[in-house]
Amino acid sequence: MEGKSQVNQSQNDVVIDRCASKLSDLWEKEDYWAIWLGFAMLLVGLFIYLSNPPAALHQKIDKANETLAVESTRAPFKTVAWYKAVDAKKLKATSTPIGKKVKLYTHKPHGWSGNPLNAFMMDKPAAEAKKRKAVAKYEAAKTKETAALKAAKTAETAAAGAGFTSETLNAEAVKAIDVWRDTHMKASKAKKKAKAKPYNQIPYLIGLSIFLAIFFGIGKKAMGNSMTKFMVGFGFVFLIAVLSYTASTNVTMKHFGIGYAAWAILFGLIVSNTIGTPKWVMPAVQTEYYIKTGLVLLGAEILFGKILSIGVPGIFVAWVVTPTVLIATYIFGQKIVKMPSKTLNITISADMSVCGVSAAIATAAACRAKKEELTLAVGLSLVFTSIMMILMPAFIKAVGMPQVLGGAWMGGTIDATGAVAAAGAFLGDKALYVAATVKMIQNVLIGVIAFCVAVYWCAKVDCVPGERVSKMEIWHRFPKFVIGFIAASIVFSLIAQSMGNDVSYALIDHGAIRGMSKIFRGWFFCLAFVSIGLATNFRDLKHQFAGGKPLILYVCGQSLNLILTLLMAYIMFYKVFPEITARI
Amino acid sequence: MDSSMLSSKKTADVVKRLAGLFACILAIVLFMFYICPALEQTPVLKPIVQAIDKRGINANMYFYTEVEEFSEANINMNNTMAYPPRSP
Repeated sequence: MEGKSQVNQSQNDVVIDRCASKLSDLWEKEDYWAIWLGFAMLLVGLFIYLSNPPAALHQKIDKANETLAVESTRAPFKTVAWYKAVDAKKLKATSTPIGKKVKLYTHKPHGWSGNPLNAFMMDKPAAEAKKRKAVAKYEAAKTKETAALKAAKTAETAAAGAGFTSETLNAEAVKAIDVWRDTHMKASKAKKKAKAKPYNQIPYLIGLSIFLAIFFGIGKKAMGNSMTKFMVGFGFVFLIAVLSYTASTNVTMKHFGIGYAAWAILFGLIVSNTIGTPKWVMPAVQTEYYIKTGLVLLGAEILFGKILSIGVPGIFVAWVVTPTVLIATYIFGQKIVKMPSKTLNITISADMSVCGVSAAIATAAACRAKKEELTLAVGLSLVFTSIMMILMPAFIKAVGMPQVLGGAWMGGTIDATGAVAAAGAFLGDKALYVAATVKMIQNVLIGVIAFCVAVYWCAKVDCVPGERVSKMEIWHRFPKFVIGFIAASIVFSLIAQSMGNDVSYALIDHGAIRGMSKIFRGWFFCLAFVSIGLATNFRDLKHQFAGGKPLILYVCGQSLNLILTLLMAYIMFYKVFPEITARI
Repeated sequence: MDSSMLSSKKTADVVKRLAGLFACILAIVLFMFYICPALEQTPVLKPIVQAIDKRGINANMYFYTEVEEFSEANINMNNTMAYPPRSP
């Protein structure tokens, strides 16, 4: 990720940037191409999903909100009708015919357990057999759900009959409703599996490969490189990316939280360190190009409105503790651990305190960390995520910690998002919802942190000690793709805000974001990690790990994170805002 | 060094590299199909594996938009805050 426009050596052997911006940068520089390509994709996403909303969207939402308003004043707990109204609002633009088409053409390899070929194709007899099994399970789950709903309605009617004044009847109704929700969730999951159909993903993957080769190739051509050479090498990089996704969709790997990033780096490393990366592949080994474009797409997924999802306590847990831990860990790394590289220090500090891989990518790109440093930070995060995903819920359960507190603690400390959901689900629905919401608020912080790191690096780190850097010089040095990243976040946040939570859930969250940005961003990051592996030597990685300092930094930072997050979550959810905890 | 020695050194190098590649593939196969499946049956890991399977969670994803449960949590929390049940 290194790379400066122009580097001079001063008399003191200090590296100084002497940059200048030109109008031609707009079509010659990678940072700008990342912005153009990213925004082109986002505009296509907005066009597709805003012009194809789910049928009767506003009427359904209005009707559901009327019910919710009535139910929230009628009963002191969430009633059956309250939950049904919320379910009725789960409308998704991605479920429209065009949304399904986009999914089909861009789908990553399917989930599989025994035979890896099932990631790519399944014939009719196999699909039929799978469907028969799933339908039987769904019917059983549906029967249980119907019985649980009946029991929930009966209990609620009894509580209503007493004017909702009997604590015993209210508690029984809540319990029965919880049981119904659990059976409802199981039936919904079983229903999805009962829709098993035959598929052959290979032609679509080939088509996607060609599309992406042209998509990135146009930028390479404009930047003065050979489009043909890029496209030839791209096929190989894409193939390794497909293999990485295939490994990550294995059911056992999902259980261990080992995702595509780990596999992409590993597969790339194996190729480069055994048979060697073929020379004809190198024109397509473009880590920064893929990462920067992916980050512009990621910007669209950072919606600032989300930070209010769980009120003030969530903001304190995610937006006060996290930056505190990040800054404290960075200072600790510089002053006490004496990390040999500032960029490695900030990348590890960010991935440990914010949200693992995504934060590591954004921060590393913002401060121009080396690819080996990003690999090391991601590796540390993945290992500790797997450990914490298993140990934290077990500990919380063993000590009898309340679900809200445990969920907030895990959401604020476990790095990877998927692992947070798994650990939360292990404890229960409440823990899952709180953990997921806190993590989501923390995810939004990535934009702010990437921007601050980029500015700090331009103004303070990449300069001679004591030198005062002018505003223009900061602008010249500033990684411009960060502007695209922040702009995408602001634009999408404003669009989502103007629509309101319910409509933006259908058209932005489950439209332009999950139906476009998320899909391509995943592919771009996967291509970037493959590129890192293909261009990295094991010895370089070993060198980065010298003395175990990165490990010491991670462990100390995470320990502080665990203590502060638990303390803040307890104070906010149980001392300052107990009424919010009671609502959850 | 004559050409035959150079050629045999080159061959040995290719064999070494291919052996390295196959050793890595073997290690991955062992890890994915034998070690991890055995580990997930242990009492420490089994409960969390069951929780993941019950909900079909993508536990190896990296951002909130990639995990369905986050969307569930989001809509649930938004409505809980907007339409909270009345005080008893």
